[in-house]
Amino acid sequence: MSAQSARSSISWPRSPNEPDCTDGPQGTHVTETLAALTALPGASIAVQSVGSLLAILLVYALVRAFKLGDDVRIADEAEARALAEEARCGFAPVEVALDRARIGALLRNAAGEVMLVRRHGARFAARLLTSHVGARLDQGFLTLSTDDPHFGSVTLDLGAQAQVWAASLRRLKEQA
Amino acid sequence: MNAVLETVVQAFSQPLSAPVDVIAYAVPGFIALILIEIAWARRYAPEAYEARDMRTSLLLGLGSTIAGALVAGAIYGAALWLYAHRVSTVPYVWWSWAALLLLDDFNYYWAHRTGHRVRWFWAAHVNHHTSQHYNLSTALRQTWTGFIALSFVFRIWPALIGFPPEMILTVGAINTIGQFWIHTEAVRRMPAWFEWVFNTPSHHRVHHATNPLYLDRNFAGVFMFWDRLFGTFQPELDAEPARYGVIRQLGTFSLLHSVFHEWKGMLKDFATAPWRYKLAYLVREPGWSHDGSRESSDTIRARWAAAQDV
Repeated sequence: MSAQSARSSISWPRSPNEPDCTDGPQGTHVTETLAALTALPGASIAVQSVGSLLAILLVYALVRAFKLGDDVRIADEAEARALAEEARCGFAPVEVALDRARIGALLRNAAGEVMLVRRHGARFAARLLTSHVGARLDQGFLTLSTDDPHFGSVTLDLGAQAQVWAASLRRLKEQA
Repeated sequence: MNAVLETVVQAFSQPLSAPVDVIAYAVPGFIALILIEIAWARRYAPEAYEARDMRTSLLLGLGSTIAGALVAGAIYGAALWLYAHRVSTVPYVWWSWAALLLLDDFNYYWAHRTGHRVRWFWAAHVNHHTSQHYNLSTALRQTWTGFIALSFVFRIWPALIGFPPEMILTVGAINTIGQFWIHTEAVRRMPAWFEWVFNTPSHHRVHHATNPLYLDRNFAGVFMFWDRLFGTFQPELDAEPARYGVIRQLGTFSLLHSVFHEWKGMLKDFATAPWRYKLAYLVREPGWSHDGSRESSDTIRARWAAAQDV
């Protein structure tokens, strides 16, 4: 079925109070304008795209309303280790620092490499830290950014461990 | 019964004047199944969906549809050109449809395998894999740049042996529809015979997984026997639950980053690599680097396998 025939096959009911736009000079003008618009190249795609966009927003609102994929946390150090190993096969942490709210973690392996794990939606994502540039210490809070600007920066509440990790990140640069 | 069969045979014997956009007809079904899966997730697996991830998937699907519509004429034209130079003519009969369904799925297997093993094609395909979730919205997370990568060439060559271009493009769309339902965690296993013949949610979960054991496996479209035949089959193991996404997870829901990040990375590597390695950054497997500083799926799997032996 062509787009043209699909359009013409739709017959929408009209409200009794609705003015008849198909009659009279004004109605003819509207009909002609609509006909001209729908005859434009790509009009069919544009109409379908707008419809699809509205449908996407509705389904998005539904998933939000259902609170699906809501509020995941790192349960414990073992889970943080597992997440690091998943992010980089063979990464075996010897030190772990968990954010107090369990939304992220810092992990160091025996080779001195440091991995940042942070929440990403209902999952977790990780990056190896390559330098201490972008690390900022504010009492118990350590803000970190990676060499990937799309990954964004993360502020971890590490409490007393924050200072220790900040210092060790400075050594990371010296190693590099 | 005979009358029904005759009608079906007759229907498939009618030449097409243009490719049938069967995907347009399938869209209401896609939406209905997504809504059913959301209801399932709400009750049994709330972590199966994430609103922003799903939004990105669906917007990627919408963009892919628009991109596809814009270039459909060019692909159809290319197929018509090949058909004009065909070596034989395949008639519109029921068995030619069946033969093309099989041949197109074979082509899909190699297009897909190449899409994972050659960085140029991976750059176009990667965004289908960037979700860390695996649900029906992931199925719609399709490429915007497949035309630029020229990956359609894998699918239209049957015009050269005489399959009508209209039939080829219609069958290609049917193949796409056939792969929608396999993007779900709601279905655990199908009957054994079905799992042997067809691609299923179980087989395709393996394909989307980043577990070293599962990397670059199960490239099939509709029929699973291609992977068994070409040595890339890996069954899903209960002891190895799939983790989804890409090796270096994006960590962002950005639509444009998902679409273009691999193109950007590849072109940057191409620009900065020594001359003798430039081409390799386009045609070697993703993760390859001339100085061995990166990891491909092969090196990750080898390291993982070595660790299992210890």
